[in-house]
Amino acid sequence: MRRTLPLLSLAAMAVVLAFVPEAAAQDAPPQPNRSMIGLSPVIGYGIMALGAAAVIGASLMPAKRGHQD
Amino acid sequence: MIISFIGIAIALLITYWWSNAGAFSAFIHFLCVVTAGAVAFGVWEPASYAMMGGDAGGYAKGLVLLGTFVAVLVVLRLFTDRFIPMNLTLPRAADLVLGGAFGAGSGVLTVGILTIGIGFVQSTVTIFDYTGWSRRSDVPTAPTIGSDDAYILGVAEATAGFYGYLSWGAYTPWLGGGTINTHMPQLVRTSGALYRDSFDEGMGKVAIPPSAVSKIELLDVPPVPLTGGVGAAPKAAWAVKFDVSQEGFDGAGQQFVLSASQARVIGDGKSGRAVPVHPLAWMQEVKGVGMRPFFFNSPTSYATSVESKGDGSFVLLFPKDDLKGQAPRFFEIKGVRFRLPTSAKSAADLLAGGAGSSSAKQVADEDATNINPLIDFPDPKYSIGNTVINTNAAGSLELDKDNFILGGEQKFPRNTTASVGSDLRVRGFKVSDGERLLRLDATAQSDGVRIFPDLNSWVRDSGPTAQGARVAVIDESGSKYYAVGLVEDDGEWVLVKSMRGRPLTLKDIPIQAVGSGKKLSLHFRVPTKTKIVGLVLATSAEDRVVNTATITSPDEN
Repeated sequence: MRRTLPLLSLAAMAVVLAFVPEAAAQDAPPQPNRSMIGLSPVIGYGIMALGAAAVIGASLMPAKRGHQD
Repeated sequence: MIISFIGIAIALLITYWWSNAGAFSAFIHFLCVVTAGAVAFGVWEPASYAMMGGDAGGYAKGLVLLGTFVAVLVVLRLFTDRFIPMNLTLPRAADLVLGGAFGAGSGVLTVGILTIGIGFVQSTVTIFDYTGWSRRSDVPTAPTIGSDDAYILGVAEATAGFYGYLSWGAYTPWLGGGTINTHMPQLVRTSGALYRDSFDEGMGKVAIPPSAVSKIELLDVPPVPLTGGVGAAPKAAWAVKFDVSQEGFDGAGQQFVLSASQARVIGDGKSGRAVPVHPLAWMQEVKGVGMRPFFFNSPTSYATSVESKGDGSFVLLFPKDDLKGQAPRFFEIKGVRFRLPTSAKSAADLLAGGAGSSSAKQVADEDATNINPLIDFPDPKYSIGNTVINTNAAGSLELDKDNFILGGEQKFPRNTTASVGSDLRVRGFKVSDGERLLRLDATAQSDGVRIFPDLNSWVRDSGPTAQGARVAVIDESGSKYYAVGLVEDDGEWVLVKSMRGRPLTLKDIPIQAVGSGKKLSLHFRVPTKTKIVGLVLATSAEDRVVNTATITSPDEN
């Protein structure tokens, strides 16, 4: 126990130093490159519409079950 | 409200339909729906992981879930209609009531699966007026995730709860040995809409090929401040360190971008229900500074890779307390779940081990020659050379609105004199602000680039290992910038090939023999004012420096 405590303290100090909030708060994270080509939502909307149509179509398949004699 | 209204209307329509069809048929259909949903939830993840790369990756999970559900439901319905042809006659009132009850069950499950499925299709975070769970600016506590309490969430929750119960019992998937509650906790939150809650209102990449994530490590971190506020109370944390390669980047391989909603650690689920937790802070490399900590305390906080760099290394920090005493078991990122190591490393490794050291061992080749004379930094507008291509004849080349090349491969007749208006001329490979296009003359020649078997014994002798090696230039800090495309001119035809974000490997390059007369150029995106020191063939084991350079990329055009 005595041997592990200093090691733990060392590790804690190293990480705490990296995460000093006052220091970190001064640095906003780098922002993503805004000129990157984003994906179009249209394809996604199309897939959603097709998926909905397929699910509804499968759910409303008529059951042509005859009467039991 | 619109999506909730449509969803509930569909459930009522299914209820009405099966109420009219009679109790027995409604019961048979209900069993088919239950079984189809269980099969779909059982197979969708292994099946969709194989499709997560490429442009369609963002649609894979939704397509596989809905596609499997519909396919199995149709097959079961055809089967049962064929082999159970007769009806049971009940009093009309009983037929209507029981038929309606089974129809309502089918309707709720069907609409729930549909809601969950479309949530895993890449699109905007908000669909009409439906968002569900997302990062919100009106939630003060990091990671700022909250809900708009849409009614349709209730239908989806009922469905997820039902299949979560079934997957614990008779419908346990035989693949993976898990249940929805242990492997996919908070499924509805993920589908609506944390999975889609990416950069640029959902237009950033939501999926990542599993092969793009590597070197996952779990670290046990003593109490540190995990929120950015002054005086924030320190909290013990689990840290997950991982590397991402260019296949997983946004913008056709330009940059990796990750929001807090796109990553989570999942607990061991020892009570049968796993607890997930999203990261509150992260560490990433900042150009010229090294690894720095940041906080997910705002919807505009994103972990990003250094621009132009072909890979990235990140550390995400998750508060231990929020795992409710469970041990971390899985790490999920952009829809892909990875098993975490069973033992955590010491926190000292987070910094002392070089949290950002993703570089492989560097091996200098004794025969490496200097390639400074073979490098230039052309204007990307005119970087293809040897042929003038009209956008109307671009074939399978994929272009952006300014006619820069984003992807594809096509051969064109050599033609340097064609007259094409500037609006219709195909430009070079796309570069972003802060980047320059580095063009390397890679024609097979003595004192040229040593990437061909004729010129490099390692390439000749290493077989598939060499063929799978990625071609990159490196800067003085060891950062690699992978080739984004190539142009080959054989005197009659000009081949233009873009990697669309995938790093170029030797097997992507048409092999040349010395003296073949073919000209080849490789194109790289590099940051401005960066000192390039060599050309490497990067394998999983090493970065083999095959040529040296001492050249600095100029400032922007």
